[in-house]
Amino acid sequence: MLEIIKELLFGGEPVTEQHGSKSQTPDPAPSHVVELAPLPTPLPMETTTGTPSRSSLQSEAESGGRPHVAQGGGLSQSLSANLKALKQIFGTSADITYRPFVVGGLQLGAALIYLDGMVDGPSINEFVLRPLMQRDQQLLAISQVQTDPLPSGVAVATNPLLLQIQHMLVFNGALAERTLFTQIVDDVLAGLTVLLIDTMDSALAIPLQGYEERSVSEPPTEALVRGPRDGFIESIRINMSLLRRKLKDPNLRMEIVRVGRRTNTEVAICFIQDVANPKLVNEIRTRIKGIDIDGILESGYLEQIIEDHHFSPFPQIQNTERADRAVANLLEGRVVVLVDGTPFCLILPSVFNQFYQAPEDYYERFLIATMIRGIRIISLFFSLTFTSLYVALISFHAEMLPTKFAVAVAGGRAGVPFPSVAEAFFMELSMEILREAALRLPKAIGPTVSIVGALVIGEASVRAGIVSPLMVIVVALTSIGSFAVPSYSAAIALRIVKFPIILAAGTFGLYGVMLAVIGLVVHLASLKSVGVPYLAPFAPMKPEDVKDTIFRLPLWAMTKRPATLRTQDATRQPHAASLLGAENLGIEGESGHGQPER
Amino acid sequence: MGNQSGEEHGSITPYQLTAIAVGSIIGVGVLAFPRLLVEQAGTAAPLAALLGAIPPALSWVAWVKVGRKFPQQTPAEYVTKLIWPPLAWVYALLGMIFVLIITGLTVREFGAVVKTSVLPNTPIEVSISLLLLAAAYFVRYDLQVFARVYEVFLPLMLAPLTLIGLLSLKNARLVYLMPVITDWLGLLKGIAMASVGYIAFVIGPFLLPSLTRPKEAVKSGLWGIGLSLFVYMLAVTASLAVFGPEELKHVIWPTFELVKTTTVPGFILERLESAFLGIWVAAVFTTVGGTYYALVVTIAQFFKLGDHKTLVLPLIPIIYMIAMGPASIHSLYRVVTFFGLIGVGLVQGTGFLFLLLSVIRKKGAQPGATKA
Repeated sequence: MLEIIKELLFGGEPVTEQHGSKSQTPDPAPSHVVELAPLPTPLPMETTTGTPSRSSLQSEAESGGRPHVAQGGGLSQSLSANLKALKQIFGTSADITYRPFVVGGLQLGAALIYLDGMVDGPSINEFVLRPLMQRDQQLLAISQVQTDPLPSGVAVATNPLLLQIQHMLVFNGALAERTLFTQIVDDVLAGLTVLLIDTMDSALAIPLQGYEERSVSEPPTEALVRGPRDGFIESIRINMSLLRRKLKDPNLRMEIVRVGRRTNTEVAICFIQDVANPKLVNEIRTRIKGIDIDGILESGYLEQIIEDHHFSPFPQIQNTERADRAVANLLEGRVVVLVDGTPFCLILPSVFNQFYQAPEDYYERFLIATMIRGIRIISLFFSLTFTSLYVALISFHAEMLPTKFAVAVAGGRAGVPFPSVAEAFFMELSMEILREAALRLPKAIGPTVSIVGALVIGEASVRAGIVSPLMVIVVALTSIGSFAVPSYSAAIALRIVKFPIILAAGTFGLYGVMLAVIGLVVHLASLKSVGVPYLAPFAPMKPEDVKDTIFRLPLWAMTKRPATLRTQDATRQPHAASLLGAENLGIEGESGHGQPER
Repeated sequence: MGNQSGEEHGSITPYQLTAIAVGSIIGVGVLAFPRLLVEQAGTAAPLAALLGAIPPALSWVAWVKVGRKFPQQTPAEYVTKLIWPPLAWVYALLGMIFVLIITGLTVREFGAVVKTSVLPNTPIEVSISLLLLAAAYFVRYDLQVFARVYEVFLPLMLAPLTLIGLLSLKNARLVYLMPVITDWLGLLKGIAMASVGYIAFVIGPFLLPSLTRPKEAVKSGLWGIGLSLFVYMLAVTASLAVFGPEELKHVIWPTFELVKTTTVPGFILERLESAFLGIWVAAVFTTVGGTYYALVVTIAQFFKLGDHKTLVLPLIPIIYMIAMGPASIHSLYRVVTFFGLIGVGLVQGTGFLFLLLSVIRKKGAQPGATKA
């Protein structure tokens, strides 16, 4: 006993027959077992992921995204040698915990390796350590091991003794056998608990993660009046379950890819197998797998690497915190990419059209939704061109204004010493500064900014004669317009583009505004998001898709998925017309022939 | 999303072809069109405008028929097969020079309008350069982007003049439209003048190999010509009905003048001409873009240079010099009329010539053996 522990803690003699165990690779196991095996944290959900993810994961793990792990090292049969190797890998990091113990019935040395703070301590004690350490456990002479008490189909481990332990001693739903150091290191880093037992050249990975998570709450960036209140959080597991809860379809696939040499971030590519265009999914998969970077801290990293046009201010990939929005896009045939550690998921492909749409558009009745969408489109154009149109009118085309109004404008501008374009630039710039300051300040000081903004910029600058009152109104409308655009990243793009247009307006009037807008349209027309033209469905025109653009037609009229996405299953409502026959139910009782005859 | 989609191949849908036709044809020419017609045909101008659409329509049918014989090639590529090569060289060079000239003249004509009406203090050189630079930026993209931009701007070609036409009904006098036919020779001249309005659609035959549905080429092209005819008819009829034939002859840009006389009751904007001109920048832009694109593509394909993008920037100074050539507005319109009439022969006549040659010399795929 003591020897064993001593050997454990201080290491034994070097092991020679390290590579003799190579024959025991986990592959010859039955096929559906294989599905479970390579997944680092096999939640039940992932069984639907199917074999593609398995191969992807395997290759990811074996290709060794991690430079500091010994190449291709398999476990040896000596516990102490294994521990030594692991200690070499992890160094003296404070949070790595080695818990040596003796398996009660077997008198074999064993050790648990896990990261402190990433695991659920009480569960480890109760469901792993207690059953293994109990002495009265009448275990398991090596001879007994040959006879397998359970149907082989449920086996994970290939080592017979490990199989026994798995079947009889570790109380956990999903285990995986590990034979490679790289796998073990990945597991430990992912928060799994790894069980190493002396004389065995394979280990068990036990998913008993437990770390602090924010609870599911309403996303602050995408508030709505009517709609579900749940938003994504930082944990990819929870996010996957949020998707699954809304979309109980076996064809929903979530493929895990690990990205980032050092952060080893889990990225889930989610799509509906029989809806999404396989070419689209392949393209996205290829792009994500091609990423070679040290760390992915937010989905924005991923977005910037896989987007089509890096030098465009316009976002070509939509992001959202809302699970319902993600599911709606999955149903349309798009692909959702979840990234561990951030509540923002990516939606690909995205077109310009989507940036003035909000999930609420589909929850409200269609007339209301259409009107609200109209308001958003107007505010989008306001935020882009209103200031520049005003500058153009004031500086070049004053004859267009009605005379009384022109006089009023001239009166307001009488004391202002600067040209209107300078005035507009000054005001727009201070609005941007205000916005940015209000965003960064602690909540407690926030109101100060709005007071300063309202007093100094609104009131005092007009009194001082630097700015005309009308300009304040115009700039305020422009800013409010940009806040009414549902997509934050699109609104920012519009605010950036606004400045050159103001400059064009100040130099060449409406002629300049129009040339700038033409340049913008040409630029937008040249963009693509994962192969889908950015201005679709307007250019190229898809009449079927225009139903859900400026207008939102009634749901019963939108029977098709977006044609732009070329989905495999184009129909959303195969029997939509029959819904309209509801007056035949015979419940209105107004006339006799409504009654169904029996 | 892979190659299964039509647009990815550099292909153009029938709707896009219509949009390109309208966008190319409708341009700065609309502004002077009523005067040029009335000078020739008097009160028969609307009829002349109507009949003037027939030659370009027939020519388009001829071009499509020739195109069917060379389904994978553009005119710049099959011209050497139809004509004795040395002659074909001369012919192609003439064509290129002509397209170069009309591009420059279009830019200049619009520059003159801008200078005269909205930006009197801005040098014409500056506004011309800006328009040219914007067009160059546009032409550097490939065919798909080209087509999409026309799609976006299609409503801007049609809506303003429809609106102006309706609003000007208030000032219209039916008597100005009478008699419908004055003299037959004038009508014929008017028809010739009217068909000049369609020469900017030189890009059309070059798009034929890239269509997603080649069978609809005739139909969608004719739709484009038809919609342009609608805009021309509106401009001519409304200007004539408002100004009358005699006054109209003294107005340089009657359509523009029509906009000036239009007021919208109860509207925020009192006068519309600046707004109209602002929107019309898009119409001119698509015209210049169309001829510019046709020019670089012709050069690239005829000399087998491969990529057209590198040709865009070097051509800017040449177009600019052509644009600055005419000394005054009067000489500008003499030049425009002269080259316009040549263009009718060169652009529309060539369609018939090629069809004739391909039938006589039995070149290209014969109708019986055309591709599916």
